[in-house]
Amino acid sequence: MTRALDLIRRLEDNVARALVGKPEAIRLAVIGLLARGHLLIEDVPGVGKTTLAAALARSIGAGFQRIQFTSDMLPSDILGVTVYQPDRGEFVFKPGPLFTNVVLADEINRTTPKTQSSLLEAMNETQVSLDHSTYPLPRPFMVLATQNPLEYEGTHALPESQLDRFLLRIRIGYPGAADEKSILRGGGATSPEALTAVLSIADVLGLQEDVERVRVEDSVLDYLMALVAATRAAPQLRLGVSPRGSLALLRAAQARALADGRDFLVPDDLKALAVPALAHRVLLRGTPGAEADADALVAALRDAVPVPR
Amino acid sequence: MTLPAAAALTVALYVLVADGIAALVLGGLLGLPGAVVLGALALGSWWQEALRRRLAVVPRLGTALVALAALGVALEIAVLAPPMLDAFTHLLVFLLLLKLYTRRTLRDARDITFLAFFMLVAVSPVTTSVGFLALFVVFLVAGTWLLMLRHLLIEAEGAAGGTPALRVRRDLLGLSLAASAATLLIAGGMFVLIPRVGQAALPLRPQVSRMISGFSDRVELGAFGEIEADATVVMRVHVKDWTAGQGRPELLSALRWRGMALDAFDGRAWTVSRTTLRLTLRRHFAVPFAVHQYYGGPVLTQEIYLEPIGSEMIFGAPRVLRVHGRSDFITIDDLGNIAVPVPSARLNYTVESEPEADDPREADVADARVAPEARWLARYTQLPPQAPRVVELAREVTAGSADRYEAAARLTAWLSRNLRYTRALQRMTDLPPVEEFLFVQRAGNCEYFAAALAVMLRSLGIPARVVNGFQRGEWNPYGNYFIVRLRDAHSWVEAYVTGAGWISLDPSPRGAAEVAAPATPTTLWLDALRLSWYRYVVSWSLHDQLAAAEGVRRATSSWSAMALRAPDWRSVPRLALAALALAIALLVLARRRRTTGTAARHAVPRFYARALRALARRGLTPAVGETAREFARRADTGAPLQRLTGAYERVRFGGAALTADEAAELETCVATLERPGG
Repeated sequence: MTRALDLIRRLEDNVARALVGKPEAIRLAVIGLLARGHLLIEDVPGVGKTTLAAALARSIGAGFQRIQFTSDMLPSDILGVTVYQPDRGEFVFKPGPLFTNVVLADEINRTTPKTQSSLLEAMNETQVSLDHSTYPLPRPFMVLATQNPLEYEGTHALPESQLDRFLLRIRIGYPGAADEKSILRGGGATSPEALTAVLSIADVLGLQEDVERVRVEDSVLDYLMALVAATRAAPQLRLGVSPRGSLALLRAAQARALADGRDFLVPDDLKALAVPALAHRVLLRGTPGAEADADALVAALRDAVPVPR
Repeated sequence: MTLPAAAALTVALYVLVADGIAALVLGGLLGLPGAVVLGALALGSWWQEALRRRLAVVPRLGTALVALAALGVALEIAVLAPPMLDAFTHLLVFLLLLKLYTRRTLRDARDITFLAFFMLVAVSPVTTSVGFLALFVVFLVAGTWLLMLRHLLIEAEGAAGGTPALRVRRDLLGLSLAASAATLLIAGGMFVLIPRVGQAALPLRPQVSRMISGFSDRVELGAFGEIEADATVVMRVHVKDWTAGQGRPELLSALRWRGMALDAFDGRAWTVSRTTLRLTLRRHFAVPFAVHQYYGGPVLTQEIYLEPIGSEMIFGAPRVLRVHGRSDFITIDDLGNIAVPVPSARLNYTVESEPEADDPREADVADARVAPEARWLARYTQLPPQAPRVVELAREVTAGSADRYEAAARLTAWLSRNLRYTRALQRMTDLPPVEEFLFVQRAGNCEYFAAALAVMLRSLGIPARVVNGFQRGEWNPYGNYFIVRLRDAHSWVEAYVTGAGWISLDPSPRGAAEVAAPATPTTLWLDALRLSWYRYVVSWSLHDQLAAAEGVRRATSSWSAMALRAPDWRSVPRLALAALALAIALLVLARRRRTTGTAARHAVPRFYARALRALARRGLTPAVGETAREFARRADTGAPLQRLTGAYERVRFGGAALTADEAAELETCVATLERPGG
């Protein structure tokens, strides 16, 4: 237990060297990693999305790839292609940029649904199927996808079924004034490339297993069910949270408990993660794209659910 | 209510010891004085802590003493040759005292439990008393309690290292009682279901402690005086069936339980002359032994539970038709006396009888119309020389009778009208007993009446014999059976009437003279319990098991047949009501269970509940959607609440248990919150 906590602290501190003043975002990213999930980072450009992903990958000594999504991209550009090699007289698979541990899928909503879905399939099954062959992806495998909420021109919004595949949707937000000032002074932050690995891949896999062993008391599980049920019953919502969403909240909450140094879940874990884990899975009645409204609504629903005593 | 576990264990231990000693007394393996001494010695060991400590350091003391005891028992068997069971008992008693005076550890407690158990085991084959059931139940309850405590103490010792001052609460007692009840239930089920392979006889201790005497093939006039005041129960007669009979069997006034008939009279005593003995072997298990010819009247089926009695006779209402029993053979002689030589087979049997008609001449039995042969007639009219006035009297009373039956009836009526029944017998002259009874005393007990009637009948040439047996006894409505006591021992007469065969005649005006105090309902109820114990436990046999299985089979087939028949609409409302009541009861039970279950599962730790109450007094209560942590942050009362909240989370959601130190610390935290203004 203390070892797990120690590892997580080390990881978070290391990432914080590159991304100054954003401990909550770092914590959520770590939760995503430990819960074997993928993150959807939704924010304006220039707040450190790439920095976060790169720093996380560096800190665990894992491979890192950044894919800039554009509207003319094809699935083979990220998955890889099978090419004919005349000297060997056969087709050989050339893996694409997806074959690594941490993938930053930048501006995922800029590409076509076809390419989006090929990525999302890989996210879900941790493997790539191409030309009748299946190629497993390395573990841990984590996608940090970003999308810019303000740009509507030339974008293809992710459908709800694909949003459901992301464990958490997080926002980084602007840094505090003091932190921004220290960034401007060039003193505070280290470049992600300069970071050293503080955890091994094996450590990460071990922590992922620890997460699954976090104890969930019955009444806490009931609380989770009540939270989910509230979204399904809410009249303002067109679509409530799916069972996959319930599971995502549970896993994320377990990871949060571990990161908090506990081997059991408390209602606070669920409460704190209800918005990042659930808000992107619901659909509001009325105009689409009102994500901030969804956050507020899920938060309001959450606060009304009785907490187990 | 809490109790130190160690003290509770000691109490349970001594209850078990007392139970074992009581069992020994019950089984007759230990006399009352011996039990008092043993009890005092056992009780004395309670306060011998100092002695125990000193004895504990003597090396090999226990081994030496046990070896000595073993030697003693071996010598006892070799030299004194007591029954094995007695020697075993002595060894048990010695070991028990040894253990009681040296007990130090929990292992010794277990050993003492085993010794008490062995005492019960030793007694089980030699007693049929229902008291054993009570002792067994006490043992089961106290034993379960002791084992649970012992387990608890062992666990606590392992956990804490030292000797813990563990206390037990009421719920543990409830748990142990439930466990005992479950054990009893399971044991009962096993008892009923496991096939019986044989009767647990009394091979280890052959002599039965107390035999009821009073029956022999020789009856001296006046010898019964003492017995007739004895209220000891001799047998219990359960009327199983009364086929084609009129009225309730318990109202049949003329019921008697015939034991043996006596045919030879020498002036002072009745004996059985040389008789032809018929041995009937059983050919098949379930086939009853046939005794008498059936004349076609109503049939009374009696189940008889006999106490160990010093006679081989089988009792039953006169004119026994058939006997069902455990024995493989019975003997029937030409007096109609039925005997079974195996004592255990006599303890329970079933007799089917055909009671005599009110006017036996109506029976008109073909066999009884054949003229008896001379030798036979001589046997039943044999008499020692009688005083002429006895014969005179007989002639005088019967003068003008139409037939032999009328003559016999007149004599019977005359005797019961003109002579007095008494139990106080005092010879006043040297005359033969019958003559003295008729002309001097003019009072006597049933034997005198019977002998006088038989003598007078014989003097008139009417074949007669004296019969010994029991009166009907007292009806027990709780178990539907007659309780027959030793004081119900009775004598009457059987006379042979052409056309009717042997008929019973009872000249004693006994009912008028005797007013026995009726038994209280409690006594009757207890006696019914005792009969059930005999019936369903002591004499529960393979045969009973087969019968029960057959009964279940028959019941199910009759139910299925009933289900196929058109429903009886009159019973529908009642059935519906019963079903409704059952459903409600189940619902209430389920609800109760659920609520108690939820309460147990969602129990807020007491320290946190107290803290919440303390904060509520200051106007701080958590909101519906507010977690403990958020509340602590909002309440902002400082470290104590933070500490309590952390502990609450660990206990409530982490399933952790508090250590003693933590509990103490939390207690201080709660106290801080509870302090006004704190």
